[in-house]
Amino acid sequence: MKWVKPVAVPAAIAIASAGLLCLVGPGTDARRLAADRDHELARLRAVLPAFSNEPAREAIETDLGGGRKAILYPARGPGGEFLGLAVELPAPPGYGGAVTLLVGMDAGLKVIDYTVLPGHAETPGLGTRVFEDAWRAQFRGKGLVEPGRTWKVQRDDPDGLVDQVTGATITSRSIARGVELALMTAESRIREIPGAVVEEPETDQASRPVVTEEDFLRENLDRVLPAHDNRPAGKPVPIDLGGGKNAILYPARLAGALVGVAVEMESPPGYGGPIRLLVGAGMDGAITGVAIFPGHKENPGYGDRVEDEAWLAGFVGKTLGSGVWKPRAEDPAGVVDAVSGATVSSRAVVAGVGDALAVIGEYKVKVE
Amino acid sequence: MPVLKEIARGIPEEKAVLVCLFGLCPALASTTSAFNGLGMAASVVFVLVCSSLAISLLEPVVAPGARIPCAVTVIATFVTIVDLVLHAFVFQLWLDLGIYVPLLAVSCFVLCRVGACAERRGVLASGMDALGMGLGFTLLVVVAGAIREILGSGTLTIWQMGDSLIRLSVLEGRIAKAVVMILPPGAFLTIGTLLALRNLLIERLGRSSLARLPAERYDPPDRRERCTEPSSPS
Repeated sequence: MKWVKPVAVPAAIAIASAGLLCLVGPGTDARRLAADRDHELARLRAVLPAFSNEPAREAIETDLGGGRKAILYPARGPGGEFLGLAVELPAPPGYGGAVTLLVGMDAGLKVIDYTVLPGHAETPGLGTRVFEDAWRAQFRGKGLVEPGRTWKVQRDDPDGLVDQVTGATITSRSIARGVELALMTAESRIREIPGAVVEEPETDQASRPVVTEEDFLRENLDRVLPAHDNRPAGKPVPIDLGGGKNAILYPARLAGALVGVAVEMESPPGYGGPIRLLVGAGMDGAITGVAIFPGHKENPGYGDRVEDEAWLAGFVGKTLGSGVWKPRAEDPAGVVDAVSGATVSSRAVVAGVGDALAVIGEYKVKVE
Repeated sequence: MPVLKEIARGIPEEKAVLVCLFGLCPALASTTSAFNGLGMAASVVFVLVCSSLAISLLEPVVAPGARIPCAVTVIATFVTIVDLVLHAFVFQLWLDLGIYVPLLAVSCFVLCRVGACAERRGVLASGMDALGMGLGFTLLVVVAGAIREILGSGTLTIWQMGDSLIRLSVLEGRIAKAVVMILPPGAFLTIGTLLALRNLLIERLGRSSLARLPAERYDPPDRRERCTEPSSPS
């Protein structure tokens, strides 16, 4: 039995070790959880108005694309009223790689403060100056849209909101863009937070000519379809796509034969919810025209640049197989470029047009 | 008092880090402030003393071939306990020390002390040796942490737990911060300088004064014999 001692002793030691840890582990469980929670709350307290709820319990996670995620922490007062929210998200890489930001905003989505979470590798003494109070102060009270200003560092744009730290321009850019992204994320997801009163964005929508849907269809339906002699709006075909989604098909005929189909349907959510699109295609599956319905909530001056007709004309001739239905900035095989300053909206429109093509391909037989 | 001599042996020479250059990883990583150094040192002392006592108690029953697995299991157990306790009670310190506390489980410093002493000598002697070595390490990392923090940040953190913070402003605002000192190169500069000072001191004092200190017994005669045995674990 020479083997007993070499086996039994280590086994006994392992069992004793496990037993000891079974005492210490659960014994400190509550304390460790409380320490983690205190830490989380302390982090949020630094950037939010005094709150009395537990924001982490109400947190909403949202996908930013590219495998990156943002977390929204709503802050509430004693009566449950919405006080503001904090957004935790990865900013564009700084000088030393990943930078995770926690940006606090009030109920009107103006920045209160931000912190850079541990785990960054910015140069101490240079890049880390972006953590200092004096530099953070310039962000306070700023919203996503500041008239005449852009969310850029002043070195890149004289109208920029952010005065970069000398010698740490890359870190400054990362923070400026990160805070802007946090504001965009907050604005696009705020409707999902119960009780968060959304102030109507101060826009010039009132001064825009009011276009009714009928006017829009009359003006655009013929334009997005190939040459035809029927009245496509006269015979719409509603389609239930499942999952609460609907589409309307408008057939275009020439001398009685089907020459193309236009589809009216919603894109995936852009910056202010889904965007309703009108996409026309010929029988070969190639796009003949794209138009965007009025009434979307994309941000004036930014997101609504996707209405640009020259940009929409770039879709003409594309088929489902022309490439990946993403902006080129996100995928080199993307079908079109994104509109600058309207990344989120572009992504929604491009994906929506791709979806529309798929619907046309699938349902055009129904029209015939 | 032989017991005190056992303890004292670890301190003046600071064998582990400054001579053998063991334990450099925790010593370099934890000395960004005096308090972090102290936290790491306390963890090391606890792990070293508990492991040494446990392993010297187990020595008679552990088969020679199973020494290292058994030692690693024991050390890892105490390291896990330290990590859990730090997490529960000194959260900020736990965050600052990060991975370096769990890494003590495979630290040469702890394993070699245990191998050199606990497996070969009595329980009391091993415990005292571990305490001495731990205190020597403590002295080194606290001094190194204080030097790095004072030069690098201009402050000296004595206590930091939850909301209570005792931080002296030493050179803050009076001289430019030498940021390099709180970066990894600063750790090498500091520990290298301390090593040089220690060698200088020993040179000046002369070997004769050191001779009055208890002799280093890393290699007791029986160890050499063991090392020549083909079945030796090392």
